[in-house]
Amino acid sequence: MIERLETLVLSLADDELIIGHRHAEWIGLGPILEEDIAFASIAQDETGHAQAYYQILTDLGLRTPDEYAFQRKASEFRCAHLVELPNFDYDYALALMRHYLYDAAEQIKLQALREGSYDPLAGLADRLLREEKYHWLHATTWIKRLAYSTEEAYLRLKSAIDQLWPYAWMLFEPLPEEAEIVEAGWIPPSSVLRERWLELIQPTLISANLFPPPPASETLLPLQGARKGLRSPYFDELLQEMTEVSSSEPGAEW
Amino acid sequence: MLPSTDEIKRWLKNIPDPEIPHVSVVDMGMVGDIRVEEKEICIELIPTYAGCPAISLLKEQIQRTLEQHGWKSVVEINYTKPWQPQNVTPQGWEGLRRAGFALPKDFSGDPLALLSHTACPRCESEAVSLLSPFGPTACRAIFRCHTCGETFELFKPPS
Repeated sequence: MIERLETLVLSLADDELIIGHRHAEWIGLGPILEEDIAFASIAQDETGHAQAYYQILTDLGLRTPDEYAFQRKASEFRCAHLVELPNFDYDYALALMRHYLYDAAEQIKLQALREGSYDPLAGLADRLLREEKYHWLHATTWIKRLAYSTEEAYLRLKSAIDQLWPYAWMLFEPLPEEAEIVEAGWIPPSSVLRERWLELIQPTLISANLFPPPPASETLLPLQGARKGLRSPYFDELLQEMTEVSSSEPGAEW
Repeated sequence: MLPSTDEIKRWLKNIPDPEIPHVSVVDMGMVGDIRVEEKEICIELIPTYAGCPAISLLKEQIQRTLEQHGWKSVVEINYTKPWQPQNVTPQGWEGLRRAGFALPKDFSGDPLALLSHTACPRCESEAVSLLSPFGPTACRAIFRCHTCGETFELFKPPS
């Protein structure tokens, strides 16, 4: 049972940790000061959420949050490839669209977890939803604002969603042993969550003429296996950077 | 003799919130259940935001304070219980006001309502604009007052 719980919790926690890391890369590079602060704040929140998820596993006698974050091999991570994608050339439309698609998925997962049968996860989800409201407000405000502004803004958002769409879709790749996880009542099946996610983002994206058709299966194929430990080509560099300080003196006290 | 929870709270009232030193950890509503056992005191600490970086420092300070009163302690950080603005004491709100924050007025759970019902802490004008829903810490949003020109922060609880 504990292995399945770890599978579920790591899929949630690792997504948070890695998106937090990517968002934090915007510090000092935001297009305006307020966006610099927004991405920094959201990054801090998401990293904290990852820590709180890991703590659930620590309380069960598994590893500590620091060990999960800083002392695992790449293949032990369970995040989706969407969050691993680099910020490439710091295209704000791409960062914003990833933030929007990811936070929509997070809302849906947290709402489901809140109703789930595992109390520590349900309690945490209730708390995190209260914080996530500000992220969601931020993401939706900017998507709407930019989608209806200039042609350049629209075209950048369009290109961003076309690029990210298969990755976002795979946020809902079924977990290993998902049938048992669902049976335990912790969370509904990924396919159900994906439907809810589509319902959430569809109205905004359709009216902004930004809603793509379902991704072709050949675009999804290379993204499979993320929840089993298959990492994207971008992950090793990220992990090396993220753990550079901690690995210089493992176990150091601050 | 075992100390009462009220007495323990009085001790902890000397610990300021590291990010808002006008308010103690108790008045901020971050201290939850207190259990006094034979050899140690267990304190439940409830972060405002899960990612609050002040938490580990607060934990240390709580342990040090209790040690000064001759007690070993265990501080349990509770992430599953949401922090409630209702647990901020009247002194807590007063401290936030003295620190120059606008205080939240809407607790309906709608972040937009919370952000739009804000008045300038300097001149009380409601002609204010939101500059950023995010600020220097997770619990702050930045506004500007059109009446007196002041730039100020709203104390922004999780909604």
